[in-house]
Order: sequence, then C-alpha cells, then structure tokens
Amino acid sequence: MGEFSAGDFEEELKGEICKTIRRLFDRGLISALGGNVSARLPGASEFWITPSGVFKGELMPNDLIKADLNGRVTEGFLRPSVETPFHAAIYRKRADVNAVIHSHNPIATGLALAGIPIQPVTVEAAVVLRRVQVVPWAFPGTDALADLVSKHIEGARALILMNHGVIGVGSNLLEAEAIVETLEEVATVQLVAYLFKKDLPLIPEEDMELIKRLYKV
Amino acid sequence: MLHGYMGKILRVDLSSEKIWIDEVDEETLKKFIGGVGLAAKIIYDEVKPEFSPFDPENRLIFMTGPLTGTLVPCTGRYVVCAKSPLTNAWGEAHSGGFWARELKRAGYDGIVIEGRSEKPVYLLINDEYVSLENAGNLWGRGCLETEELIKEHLGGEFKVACIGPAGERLVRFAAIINDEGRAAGRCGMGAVMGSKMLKAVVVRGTKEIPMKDPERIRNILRRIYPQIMSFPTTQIHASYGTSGELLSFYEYGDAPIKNFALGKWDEIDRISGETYNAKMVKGKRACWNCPIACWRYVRVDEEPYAGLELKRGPEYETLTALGSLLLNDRLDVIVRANLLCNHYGLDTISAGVCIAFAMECYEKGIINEQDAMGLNLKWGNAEAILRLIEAIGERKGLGDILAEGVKRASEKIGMESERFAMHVKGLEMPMHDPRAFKGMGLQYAVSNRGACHLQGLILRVEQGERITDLKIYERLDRFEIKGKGKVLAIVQNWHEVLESLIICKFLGIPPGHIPGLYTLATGISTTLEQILQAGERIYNIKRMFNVKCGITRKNDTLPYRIMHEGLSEGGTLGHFISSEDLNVMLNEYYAARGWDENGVPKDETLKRLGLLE
Repeated sequence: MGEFSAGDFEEELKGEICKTIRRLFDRGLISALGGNVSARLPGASEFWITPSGVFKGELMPNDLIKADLNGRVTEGFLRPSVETPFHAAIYRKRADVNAVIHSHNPIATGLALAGIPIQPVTVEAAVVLRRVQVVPWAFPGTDALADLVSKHIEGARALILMNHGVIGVGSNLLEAEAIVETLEEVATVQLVAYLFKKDLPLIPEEDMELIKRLYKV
Repeated sequence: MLHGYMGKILRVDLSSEKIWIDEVDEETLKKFIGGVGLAAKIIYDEVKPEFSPFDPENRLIFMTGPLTGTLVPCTGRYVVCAKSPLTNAWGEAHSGGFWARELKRAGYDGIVIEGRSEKPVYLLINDEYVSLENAGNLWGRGCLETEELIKEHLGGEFKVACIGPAGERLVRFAAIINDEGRAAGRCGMGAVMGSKMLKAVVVRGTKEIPMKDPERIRNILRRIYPQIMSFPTTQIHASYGTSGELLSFYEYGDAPIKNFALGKWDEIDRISGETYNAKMVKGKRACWNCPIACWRYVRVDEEPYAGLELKRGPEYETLTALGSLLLNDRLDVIVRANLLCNHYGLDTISAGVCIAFAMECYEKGIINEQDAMGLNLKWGNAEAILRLIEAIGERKGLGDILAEGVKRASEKIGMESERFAMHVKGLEMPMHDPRAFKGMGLQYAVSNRGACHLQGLILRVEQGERITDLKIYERLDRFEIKGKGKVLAIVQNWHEVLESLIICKFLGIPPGHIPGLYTLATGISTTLEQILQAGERIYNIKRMFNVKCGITRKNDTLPYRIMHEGLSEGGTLGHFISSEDLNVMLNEYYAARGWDENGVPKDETLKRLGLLE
C-alpha cells in the first residue's frame, strides 16, 4: 500500500473544487464571471480558492490560488477571487468550516431584493438552512463586506448578500454545495407559491417546535 | 535563459558612430521590470543634471517591456525617454502601433542613443545588422512622407519611428511619429532626436519573442476575455475610440473650452465622439494584438477638405486640444490640423495649448495682427489655427516663439500672460480640467514629466472606479481635497508597472492578473506586492532624477488660472484649487510617498526601495 503525502490530499482537494464549481456552473448557480469556491484541508491555516475573472465553466486545478487566513496569496499565478477577504474571514471565525461557496443564486437573491425572507416552507428549509440572514449591501471585494460577512456567519450555514448573491459553508465541499443548492430550491418553491398566493402555508407548528426552538427559525 | 526579454540593449553613440550591445542583469530587471523603469534607471545613472536636453550627452532611450509584442493583449507600445527640453527634467512619451514589437523581434529590448551626428542619419536595424545610414534626402521631409520613402527604399516590412521638420528645428514639443501617425507626443522627445541629427529609427525583426509558458498564458487569456471586455471604458473605446468619452467629460466640466476659461459651449456636440464617428470615421484599426481597436480611420467628405484622409484619426485629446480649447467646432479643420501636426511631427496637445495661449493674448490685446504674421487670431478661426501650426513647425514669426512651448513663450511675451499659460513644469496641460477632478490637480502638480493625465489616471477613481486589488475600495468625491494624496501614490505606482511591462492602460485587466502573466511570460516569479514595490521604486528614481535637476515642492504646482479662477457655468461651477487646497493635498501625498516636506524622498524611503546603498 502506497503512502500519501499532504500534497496528494491538496491535489485531490483542488480537483474537487473544480468539479464543484463546474456542477454549480451547469446548474446556473455560478455564472461565467460571478461566484467563487474555496476549501481547505481540515484545520489547515491556508485554503485554495478559485481565480477572479477567469471563465468559471472551465477552471482547472492549476488555476487555483492558495491564500493564508489573512487573505495573502502564498501560491498560484492567477488573480485570486476578489472575495478572498470574506473567505479568509469565515475560516478565521469558523474552525468547523472547511469549504465556502459564494454563488449567484438568482431566485434567492431576487427574493431578498423583494424583501421576502426565506421561510420554512419545506422541512429542508428549516433543517438544512436554519435561519438565513440577509447581509446588507457592501461593495464586492472590500474589507467592509468581509467584516459584515464575518459578523453574520456565526451560527449560520447560509447567508444572502444584498444585491449580490449567497454564501454557503460546510465542513467539506459537498456540504457547502448542498447548502447553496437547497437555498435555491427553497427560494424557488417560495417564488412559485408567491406567484399564486401571498399567504403561504408553513409547516405546522407542532411539527416544527423542536426545530424552531433549536434554530430560532 | 531569459524569457519575455530579448536580453540585449542596443547602444549607439552618434558622435563616434560606435554601436555596441549591453546586457542587463536579472537583478536589475527584477528591480525595474523594463520599459519606462529600465529607461529611468539608465537615465538616472548616465544623465548628469548639468547636461542640457540638447547636449549630445543627453540620452534618448527607446524601450520596450517584457510583455511587449507577446500574446498578452494590448502590448504593442513603447516608451521614449530623455531629459525633456520643455521641463529640463524627466521626460517620457509613449506610443502604440507595431514598431515596438518589431524592435523586440529584431532581438533588442531597447535602444540607448547618445552623442550627436555631424550630418542627418537614420538608424537601421535589420535583426543583427545595425548601421547608421545617410538621411540627407529625408531631412526636411514630413513624418508620413519619410516613412513612405524609407519603406519604398527598404521594403514595406520595415517599421519606422521618425521626426519631422519640427523635431529637426528643435521645436520643444516635437513628437516622434511611428506606424503612419501614431505619436510619442509628449515632452519634446522629437526635439531631442532632432538635436542628435537622427531622422528615424527603422527596424525589421524576424525572431520569436521567447515566453516561459506560452500555452498556459494562452489558455488563461482565453478565459479572462469575458472580464477584460466587460470593463466599462473598454466598450466605449471599442465603439467610439476615446472620443466616446468627450461628452461625458464635458458634462463633468472636464473637457477644456477656450483655454480653460469657459465652462459651457453650445457647439460641443459638433465635435463629439458620436458626431465624429457618424460623419467621418470610415473604419477601425488596432495596435498589435489589441481586441479594443480604438484607432479610427477617417476621411473628410465635405469641401474644402473633401478626400482628406487620416489613417490614425484624431482621438479625445486631439479633438479637444484642436477643437473646444480653441472654440473650433469644425471636425474637418481638426482633421486637417491633426494631419499638419503629423506632418511636422508635433504633439497635438502642446500645439493646441500654445495656439490657445496665442489666441488669448490676441483677445486681450497683448499681441496684434502684426505680431501674428497678419493673422486674425480670433477664437475658432480655422485659417489661423492651421497657419499657426505651420509657423510653429517651421519656426517662423510668432510660431518661432510658440515653438519654445507655452511656458517660455509667456515668459518672452510677458504682460502677465503667464496667468493663462497652461502648463506644469513646462509641459502643456492635457485635456482634463483639474477643477473637475481635484485629484487630477494633484496628479498634474506632482507628475514627474509635468502636466500628465496618464500617470495615475486618478480621475477614474473620482468617477467611481474601485480597484480592490490595490485596496482602493471607496469612490473619491471629485471635488474633495482630502484622501487624494494616498490614493494617487498607489495608482501612480501601478501605472509605472503597466508602463514598464508595457501594457496599454486601455486594457481593462485587473492588477491581480498581472503578476501571474509576468511570471509565466518571464519565468521570474513575482507577486502583486513585489511588482507594486517595483512601481514605487521606478516612480521614486524618476523623482530623484528630477531632484537632481532642481525640482522640489516649489515646482509641484498648477497654472494660475486653475488656482485662482472658478468658471461661472458648467460642471465645475465656481470650483478652483487654491494654494491652501494644493498644500493640503501635497502634504498628504508627500507623507504617503515617504518624502520630506520639500518633496524629496527621505533616505529611509530610498533604502526601503533599494535605491540607496
């Protein structure tokens, strides 16, 4: 049986980042120029992140950039995602998080613009997403946005960035991907319901008691 | 082996007719990158402050960068540097086209020319074959004609950068013209060339420019094009050329009118980018490997200039300098004036400012028709504009006085005319009124080459551009004074990087992409922090050259009109930059730069940048 080095795991991780962003791109949650994905080996003090401005449908492992928890580039050739500061801020704040996805979910972002909160319309909405807060507007790529995200990410799995997109975090890439995908699924259900009815039937109180008490949904 | 660079600097002493090759070590390249950075290092080391710009000892340097002529887009440019005859200090001018790539393909990163030939010559470079050729039959001829004759003689594949009669006659704002009308216009580099009796530099190259990892670069570029082409000004420049911004700048009160004395002009639409493109633009052209294609090929359809063609038609600066600045609303006259400037080899910006100055002297009664060779210099008079350009190019009459540049002309004419002589350090003001963007006022005041609109382009931040890679997160209010100094230092450093690599500033590529492209092109590993520090080093070595030439805080100033006169209408209504305002900006700027209160870099700053042993 051969031995593995940390480098092997890093290469595997970079490959997974590219697969993740490709799946999100194919699903329309990340666009050609919008969205970014990062991940780190559990507990690592550096993370790999996708480049900025490079067509998102065709990213390759050697396009990725490594940054430390202050957002400083330590490896790679391309321009790191402009949102590297908030990815770094999340890893600094959340030792349990090893993957961060910032996608441009059109329906979740649109509902926030309309002032409609994500509600417990399905069990997934409550269990998987918990309470989804909306982070007020700050210009993309700024330290101001990183500070706001850092303030809101405590205890959250998903956030909506006003006029911008969403963030999903997880202990690994698949979890973070599941979060942003679920967020869009729930938002879509709400959108469809709102097209026909304004007062939505939520999940019955008694079925939700535990969840509501725990998650403050 | 070096990549990106060709590894050779061609040296030519015109006095002794000696030609040799210098090699540049990797350490120097890391510190100064190439392009304007490498030229600054050579000038700082070799040009003593006591040399006058027209002394044979002055160096005239043509330099390319490590990305010049490569598959990285918008890399067709070169820079010419020398001690400037307008400012008696640092001078640089930039031009696009194809000449720069040809020089690299001939095997050279740059050319350093010193000495003075006894008779007119041109420098011929055909790969390794380099010689000085007799230019007796070319002397006296216009730039476009000179290029045609050389190509007829040697072949169309040769690229030509040359001077016209203005450079030969040492008009202090003479340009160097290449590729049928592209101009290295500013700072009188054509006059330095003329002082050396050098008519042209003619190149042909057949070599490949080596790249460390061209496949990777190609692959990356293919995928960042959607972002590059989405940059707002890229779309405007692609659609209209730089003239597409004219009306927008007019709304800000930025496009100068009547020698910076009016804020409103009802005829502005007649010279706008939209009118220009609709009336006379017949096609678009691009420099080497440029996806934007901002050149415009123009032809005049109406009399009296019907059939007049310009392969490189006027752009924003020229439309304004020869248009609104003179209250000239005739596009055909602007095209004709541009053609004359190309013929004589004149900087259209400086020419426009000098003519505007003469017209204002005339309006104020300081000069009369007799002084003006019988010309009626009333504002907008087409004949007067065209005749004055000829007189400057031929150094005749009033033209001979204006050929000295607006600073010296106003000193000669006197009668308080210096109050409306629009220059900084002797370089005529470009076509952005700093009362509209006060950061531009600071930029003009401190720029190493004098009134320079390109070294920093801080107006973009004042228009709302965020450059997150450079930590410029907030828009700066255009009329605000505070906060400008720090941001200006950052964008100036960045522009030194672009001018050293050399990449056109119109390429909307975020700074964060550049270190990777440089590393993959050259094999020299760098980061954004490192390359920005190189930019800071380059800016400071130019300043140190200027300090040697006597430039200090007293020279970091603005024209009287900008500091005392607000306009009664238009986008800058009432605003001006008082000396108190300027001092606040200078203090902040000097502090951000690590300079003392007199504008001299402190020893600790020079040590940090590796400029002081």
